[in-house]
Amino acid sequence: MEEDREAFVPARLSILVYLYFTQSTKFTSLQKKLGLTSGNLSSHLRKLEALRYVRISKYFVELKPTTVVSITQEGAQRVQTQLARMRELVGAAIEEQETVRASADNVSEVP
Amino acid sequence: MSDTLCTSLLFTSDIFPINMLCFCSSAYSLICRRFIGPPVCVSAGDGMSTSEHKSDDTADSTEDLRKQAKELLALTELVRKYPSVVSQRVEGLVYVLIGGGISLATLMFAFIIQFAGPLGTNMIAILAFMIFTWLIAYAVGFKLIKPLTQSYMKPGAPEDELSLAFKLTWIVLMAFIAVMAMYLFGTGQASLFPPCMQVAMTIGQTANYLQSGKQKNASALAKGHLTFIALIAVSIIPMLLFPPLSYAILILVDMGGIYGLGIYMLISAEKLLLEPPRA
Repeated sequence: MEEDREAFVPARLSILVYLYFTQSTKFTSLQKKLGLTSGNLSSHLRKLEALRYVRISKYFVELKPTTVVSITQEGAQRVQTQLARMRELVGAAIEEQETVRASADNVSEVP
Repeated sequence: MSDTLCTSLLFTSDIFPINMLCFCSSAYSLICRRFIGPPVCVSAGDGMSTSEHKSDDTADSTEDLRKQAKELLALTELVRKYPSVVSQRVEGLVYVLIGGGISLATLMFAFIIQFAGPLGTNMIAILAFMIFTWLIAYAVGFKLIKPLTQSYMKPGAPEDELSLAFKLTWIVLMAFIAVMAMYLFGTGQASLFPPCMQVAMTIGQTANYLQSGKQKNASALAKGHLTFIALIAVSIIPMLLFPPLSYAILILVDMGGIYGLGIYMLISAEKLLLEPPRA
């Protein structure tokens, strides 16, 4: 649970879900897409790397150092299970709300 | 949301509307607070707030949250089916590449026979060429394309899920094709090679079908695959009835079938993305 709390704060969840669809991306593109500062993104990535959800590699592209972030199998698996959990939770909440709403409508229709 | 989202997902690197993503993750905490935890305090606007104002704002906010929750559900649905989409795309691509590869190999083979003279018809040269083609197909399919799906495999799961029986079937079939080719071409019965090839292809494709049936979400491909197998099996009859046309039928059915199956897989992968979320 502690691991969940650390990995699934909104910014980290966004990073993981984005990587889930792209598999790997450059640090700069990720920063641009998520609108995070480089320091902020670095700290989130370090945390995710420590949890072994992402892999960070550095390459030289045209003599410039480039950082590439990829999602690991564990990371992809965690995104799937976490979003499935979200789905159940939110789906149940919506259903409950709709039941409450329907019963309220029924009560108001009764003269 | 899902239509726009899915369209932007198709083979692009600019894959996800990230605002939606950030919105979804923060919406999740908001929704949980609103629907599951204690109600969120709603600002009444001006100082003259009345209970009516309050209830209007709360209704708007609830409606908004409900909308956000539905969008979050669409995202979770997309995450759920994305691995199958990728695996179908990859399989489709493999089939199209195999079709292209075999076409190229056939052209090269024709070129060798025409220009290399006796060397071109030498059985060892033909066999070496066939083995070379299979090795290239293996390298492209299993070493270059299949690893594209590695992130979606379960951790700890074996990377190669092909069963021993499936591998053995294909090894035996390849040996059968090679021996048949040597025997039939050697004894001047080349027109019998296509029907023999089709028997091997029917068995091989049935093995492929049974193997893919073990994996998840294979139902979408079942119809296309079964049609292909039936076409291969039925094509043996005209091949035996009209031997001079047997090579033309072989190329038409097998190449056309492999291309068709590949394209069908690619289309069904995209359809999977566009289909409405399950209830």
